[in-house]
Amino acid sequence: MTTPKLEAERVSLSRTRTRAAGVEHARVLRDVSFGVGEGEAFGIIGPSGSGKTSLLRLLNGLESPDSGRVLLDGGDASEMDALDLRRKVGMVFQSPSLFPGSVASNVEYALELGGLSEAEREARGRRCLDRAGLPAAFWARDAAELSRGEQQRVSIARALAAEPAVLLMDEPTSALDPAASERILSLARSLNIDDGVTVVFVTHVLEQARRICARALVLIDGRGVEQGAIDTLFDDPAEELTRRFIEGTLDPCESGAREQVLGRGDGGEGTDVGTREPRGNER
Amino acid sequence: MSGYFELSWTDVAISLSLVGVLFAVALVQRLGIARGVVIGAIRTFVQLMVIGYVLKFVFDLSKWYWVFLMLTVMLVVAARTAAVRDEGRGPGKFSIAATAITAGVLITMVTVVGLIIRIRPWYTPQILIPVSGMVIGNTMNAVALTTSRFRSEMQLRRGQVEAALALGATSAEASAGPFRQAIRSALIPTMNALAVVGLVQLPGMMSGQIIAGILSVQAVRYQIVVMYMIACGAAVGSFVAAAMIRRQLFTVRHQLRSEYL
Repeated sequence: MTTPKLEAERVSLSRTRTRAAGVEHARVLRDVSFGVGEGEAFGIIGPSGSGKTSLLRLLNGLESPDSGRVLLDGGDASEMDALDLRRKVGMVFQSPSLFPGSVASNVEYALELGGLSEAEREARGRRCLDRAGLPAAFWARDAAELSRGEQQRVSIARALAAEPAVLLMDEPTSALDPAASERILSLARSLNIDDGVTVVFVTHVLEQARRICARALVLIDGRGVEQGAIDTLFDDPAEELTRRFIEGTLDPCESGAREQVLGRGDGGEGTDVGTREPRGNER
Repeated sequence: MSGYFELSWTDVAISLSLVGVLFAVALVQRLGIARGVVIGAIRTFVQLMVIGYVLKFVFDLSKWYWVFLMLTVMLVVAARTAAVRDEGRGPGKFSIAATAITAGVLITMVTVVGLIIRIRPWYTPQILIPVSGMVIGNTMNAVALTTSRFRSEMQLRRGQVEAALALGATSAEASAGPFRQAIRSALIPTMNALAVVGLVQLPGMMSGQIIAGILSVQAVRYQIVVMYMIACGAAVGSFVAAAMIRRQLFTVRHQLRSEYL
């Protein structure tokens, strides 16, 4: 087998929180391993609070694992320049998290960091906007005035501007209506199939995983329960937990008391920021 | 001294009735602060009495080490006060506040003593202590505002900060918005003070001189210098505090340490 494009090798992660009751340790991920091939669309599926977002955040170095390694093109990610790694492994968040200002300033952000000339930036930025399926007239608009679905597409254009080899997508449709979700999903699929971008797609919506991904990892309670071809996972899972997750009969309480803590850290983060984001604090 | 009205202890005792009004309001309206009012009134009395004697002692001896000790105590109290107001979860709040306040005060006071007021000896307590006190107080407020505002801005804009990091921005680039916002808002009271000084409220130093009957061109010049001094102290303190918090909030690999927000 050729070297995977992106690989997690027995990664574990725990978080420390200071609470009134004292310091609290939560184990978020335990010994999770998987590999994503070049040009593949790989899914990470599991119930809310299972550690999917945290796992994704390890892949572009927004966090570092306590143990285990992340490998990009066979090289240890912790030994690469952190900024370089993130330009190669782009990320789309659950909430669009756009910067205050115009669509243009958002899409050009990564290009400004890269030090391109103004004309080059605009040309490339406009191409990315078009690629994300937004009309050219959006270029000068205020990002805060767009609908949630349009904002999410701007955030995809913004990520594409850095020309990442891998695109991590963290439940990008979770706050969108069905029509807007649909557009994001076909965009993700097209980026993978037509442009050859390696995609890692996190979702708890099984339909989406089935549409986008060829293979997937089932993550439950911070453990990689099973991975393989998506159809096999759905139709003939090897593990009981996978079967119950697919059927929708997995009792969240079974994953233990940790669940609640995780729920806040994982799902909570994105949603929380998201609800305040679009207009409120942007000047 | 002409026009100087002496206060007797009896007069001070009568003034207690003024605090009595506050006490009555607190009791009648059940504000739950009556106890605090009593304690506050006692503290005002005791602290000012004690500081009066301490200052007299330090002025009379005029030894550099007593002045130095006094300034150190003032800085420690200011740093503690600012640290308590920092509601973040990061460690070392006291040392952040102490470093920032000391930096602001030191830069300001060295300039003042070296170039402007040029007091000789440099530790002349009658000048150094009250002037430093004003700079310390104002810098303390700026530092306290900076730390709490920076953390809350970071919390509020955490999604944007991490989005910027994910696009390959450095921690300084990703947090530039909150960083600027924190310093800007911390300096607003100082900016306001510069704009309205003398129009709305006479500065304490000038009021004291007016009451003591020695207001002069000299006093006005001193006050102008003091205003510029507190601006400098606040600016340096605020910047140092923001830089230290920023350093604490990110790892060397440009990862946000959200547990410290």
